[in-house]
Amino acid sequence: MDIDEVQYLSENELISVVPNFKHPEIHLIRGSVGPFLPLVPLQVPMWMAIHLKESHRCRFVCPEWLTLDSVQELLKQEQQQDTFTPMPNPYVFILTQTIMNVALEDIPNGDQIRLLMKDLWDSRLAKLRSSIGNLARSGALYAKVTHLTQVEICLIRNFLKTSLKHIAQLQDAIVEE
Amino acid sequence: MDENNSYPLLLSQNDIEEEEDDDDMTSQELFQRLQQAWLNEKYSPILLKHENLLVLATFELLDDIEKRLKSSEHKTTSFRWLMHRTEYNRLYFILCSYIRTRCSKIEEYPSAALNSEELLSPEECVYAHTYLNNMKQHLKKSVLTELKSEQQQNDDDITLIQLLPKPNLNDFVFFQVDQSVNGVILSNEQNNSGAPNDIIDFKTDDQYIMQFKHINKLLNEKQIHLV
Repeated sequence: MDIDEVQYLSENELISVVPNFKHPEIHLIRGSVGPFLPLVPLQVPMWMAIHLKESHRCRFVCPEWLTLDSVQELLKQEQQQDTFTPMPNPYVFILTQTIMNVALEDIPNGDQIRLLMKDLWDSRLAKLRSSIGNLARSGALYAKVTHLTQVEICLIRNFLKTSLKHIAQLQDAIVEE
Repeated sequence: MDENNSYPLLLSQNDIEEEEDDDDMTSQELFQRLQQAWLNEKYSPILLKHENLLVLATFELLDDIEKRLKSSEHKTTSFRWLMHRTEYNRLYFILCSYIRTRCSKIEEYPSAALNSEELLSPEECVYAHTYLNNMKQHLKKSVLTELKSEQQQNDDDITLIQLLPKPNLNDFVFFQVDQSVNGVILSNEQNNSGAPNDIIDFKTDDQYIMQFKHINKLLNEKQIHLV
């Protein structure tokens, strides 16, 4: 339930990297990775990519959902709609932060993308706040939350659990009278 | 460590054919299923069915990897060794966290756990019994013997179970739908005012938050998973 655990889960996602060393195929539990050849891009899990980057043995390839154009598109759609737009990946925000921390220089227009992501995050957070308010006021005891990313669910989980629990208890008490 | 390092799991790893029983999982499937079982257990307020098969298979896999890691001729700083070691640690963490979550649920509601023994593994049964007995003795010794003898109740198991708290099925959970389900009825048992019960259709990949009691059955049939 913590952000740490969401980060742990996000590190299982695959990402493209370009290694600068040679190594035969590695057979991991979740499938084989490799063979590693210099300047040939391949998909590896995120935890391995972070390790490689920090030991200066690879370069990240920008994932399609993190290019300047697609982020701008996402932001535009988010700002035009009142409801949440679907995100390309359930771990968008956490992966963006991880990638920016580790490999900022590999992402073209990295700083601009960071700012756009922050705007995206802020607008979704604002929508979250208002929709939670509406949920509480309406007295409904369930809600559809498709298109929310894992991080956002984590954020509101504890708050929604306790507040919905209180609302449910109060509703039961009213009916009994 | 040989170059073609694969992890034969129970039978042969590269057999992805689904036979009558679930034993021929690839290690990749095992990982996915264990991770999902861990998440489900974490977020559900009650104890779910123990995934004995997954746990045993993971133990075997981890033992196997550990043996290979220890007996490897490569240096312990080689890339291959480090990667295997990292993945081993990650899998070990999930397994331990799963067992830890279940143990803490048993400790919170031991009598409810013992009531539904089919959900526990044999070791957990022993653990639950021991824990409950120790608690009973401790409370008896420290409190009940100090009270007047008329107030000392018989430690009848049935009355004890009725007195102890049960886990709350009304807790709210987030979940995502794996298989579409039509016409799920959210019954409001204490609904005296005649308001209609809500009927919802679940489509694949929708996410919802609602009370656990409504979706308990769907979770057991693996049509949804907790998020």
